[in-house]
Amino acid sequence: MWQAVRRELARLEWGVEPPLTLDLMADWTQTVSSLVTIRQAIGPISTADPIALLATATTGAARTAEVKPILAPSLGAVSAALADVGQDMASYPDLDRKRDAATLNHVAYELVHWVRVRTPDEQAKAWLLAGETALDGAIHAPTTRSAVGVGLAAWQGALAAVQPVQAAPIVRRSVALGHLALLRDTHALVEEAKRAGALPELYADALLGSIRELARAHQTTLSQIDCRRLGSTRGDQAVMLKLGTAVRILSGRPDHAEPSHVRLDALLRSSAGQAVLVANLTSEPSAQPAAARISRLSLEYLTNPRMLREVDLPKAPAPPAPVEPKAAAAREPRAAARIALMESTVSPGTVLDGPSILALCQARDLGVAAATGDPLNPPEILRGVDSSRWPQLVAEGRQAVTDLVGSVIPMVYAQTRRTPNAADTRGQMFVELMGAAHRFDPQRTSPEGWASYAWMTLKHARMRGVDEAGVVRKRTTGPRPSTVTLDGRDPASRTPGPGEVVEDRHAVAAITQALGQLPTSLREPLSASMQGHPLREIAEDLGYSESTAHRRIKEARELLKGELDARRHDSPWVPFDTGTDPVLRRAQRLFEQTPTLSRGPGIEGGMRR
Amino acid sequence: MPAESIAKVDLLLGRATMLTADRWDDLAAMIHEAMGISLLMAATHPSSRPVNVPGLTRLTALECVENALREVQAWDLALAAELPDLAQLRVLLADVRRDLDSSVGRRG
Repeated sequence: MWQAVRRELARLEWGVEPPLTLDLMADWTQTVSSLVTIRQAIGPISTADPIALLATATTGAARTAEVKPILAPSLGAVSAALADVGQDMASYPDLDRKRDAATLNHVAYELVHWVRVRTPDEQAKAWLLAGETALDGAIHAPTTRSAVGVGLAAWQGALAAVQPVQAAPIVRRSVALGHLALLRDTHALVEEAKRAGALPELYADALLGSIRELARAHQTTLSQIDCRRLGSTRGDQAVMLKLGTAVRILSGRPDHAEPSHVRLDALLRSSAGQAVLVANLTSEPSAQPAAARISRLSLEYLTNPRMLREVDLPKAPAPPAPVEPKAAAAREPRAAARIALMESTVSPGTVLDGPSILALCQARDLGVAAATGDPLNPPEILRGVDSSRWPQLVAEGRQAVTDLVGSVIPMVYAQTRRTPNAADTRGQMFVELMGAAHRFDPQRTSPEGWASYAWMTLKHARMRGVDEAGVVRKRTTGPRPSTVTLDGRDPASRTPGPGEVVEDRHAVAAITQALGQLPTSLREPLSASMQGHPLREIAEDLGYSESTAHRRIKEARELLKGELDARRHDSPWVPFDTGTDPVLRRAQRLFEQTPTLSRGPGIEGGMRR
Repeated sequence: MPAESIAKVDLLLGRATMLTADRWDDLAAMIHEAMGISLLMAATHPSSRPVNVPGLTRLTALECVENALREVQAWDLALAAELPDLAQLRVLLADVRRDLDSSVGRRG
């Protein structure tokens, strides 16, 4: 199946007098579409997938304002061969998907490198390097999917979306603010890893120094932006929405299920949130060298990801600092983020007897009480226990939960044998198992009932399964929306994102307006139909026959569809395939048309650099 | 929806973030988190006209946070249904204000 692609790749490299293209970037965009089609035929694709990241990076490269048509050998034949592979894949669903996914990554890596070295524009080159690095990591140092990785993919997508309006102050402000939050998180994780001995000291120091320098550069960028007229235009709002959503994902509280080393790994793989691309977008000269150093250090990490080691938590955490309870509550999640995983002290699959399970449950309950209780008003279970011992109890409680889980871990593998999405399902089952270990009440059944309770919990989790994004399905009988990828939305959650809420709001307003423009004879039956009234009832109420009511509703729907299609050009976001974003383009055009003096001295100061 | 007030909070917290960009402690982390919330709020509930905070460029981080807290505390608590991060923003700002206040000392 891949022979034609291999042949065309060889021709591309060695071809004498190959067919030429005048616009390599257009050729490459077409080729990436074929790569994405193949990846989609292989299986569900998340936005953090290397091919998806390559697609985003290509969007960013193609949207770079300075990129001029590039004369180069045409990628047409490779693209056609890839399109054939995509079709073959769809026809043969029983192929070795893992092998094909690996082959696809290799082909994509080779191609993006080929395109990058032939691209003269530095900004477009930086984008292509981001795609190449994602593939490099997937090939040479593969890793599992992580929540931070998904957030970083959203961030990269947002950077690509605002690329056409990169000179706009709102872009420079939002990008600098968002990246500051991201740098802060990276800084904290690197420092923590350094303290724990999980990262070589020299490497950590170099990284910390570059992060601080880049943060100072962002500070300079922000100090030069005049905020007085920001945020009131539609273009500004589209930019803020795109970047704000990504920033919120990344600056929110860390996912407790995700160990710190996994988060740091994702950040390093992404060059601390694409530092070079950010520096290009903010146009601050002092940002460039620091970003380049971060990029180099990230590549160094990618060649040896083992330099970041997992380190065990200390047996007993240090006593908490004397802070007010509310402040402590706000900081607790960050303080809890340690570079470590707690290991079970019981061998996997050990059958625990009743007294052992009872003792573990008691330790667990004491730990929970110590973690949440107020020393001035201790809960009943902790009466008489010196509060200086509470941190120890918290550690013992966590260990007890880990041991309970460890005793039944083989059940997870037993339940996920030969299931689709086994790795994701397993991950979800570990989470469910932790919850079960916290919930299990030995008084309600008997201590020995723990194994049955865990088994039933896992069985229910398996029956519900996970979707293509690894998210456990809800307990619902309603139709499940399919996960959509690469349309600017990550499939990690079915909760509508803020962007979707705004889009929905626009959509509802557009439908209402279009409905109002229909003639009464069509509007009335359609409105009644939209309110859920049966056809017979509508016909009776309006004095038509059922067939007339049916015909009018159909006609009204078609008119409405035509009207809404005509308005589609005003949508605030368009998918990758379309290649551009009309709202952002319009905003850029308006910005460029604005007389220089009316932009204010602060902006000009920033622009002149 | 107090769109203009939200936009003001976004501007204030943007400045506070800029002023604390070279700090690497928990306090700066909380300011950045609050900024992340307000940035998205301002994007999802945009103001129909340009918003200005008089003297913004002269404000200290503490003053920015205090002004932002005043704005947020003036919002109707019933907005929590539409602004799911409202409570978190209130708590974060209150904590940041207290910590900043104790670290820089009472003014006046």
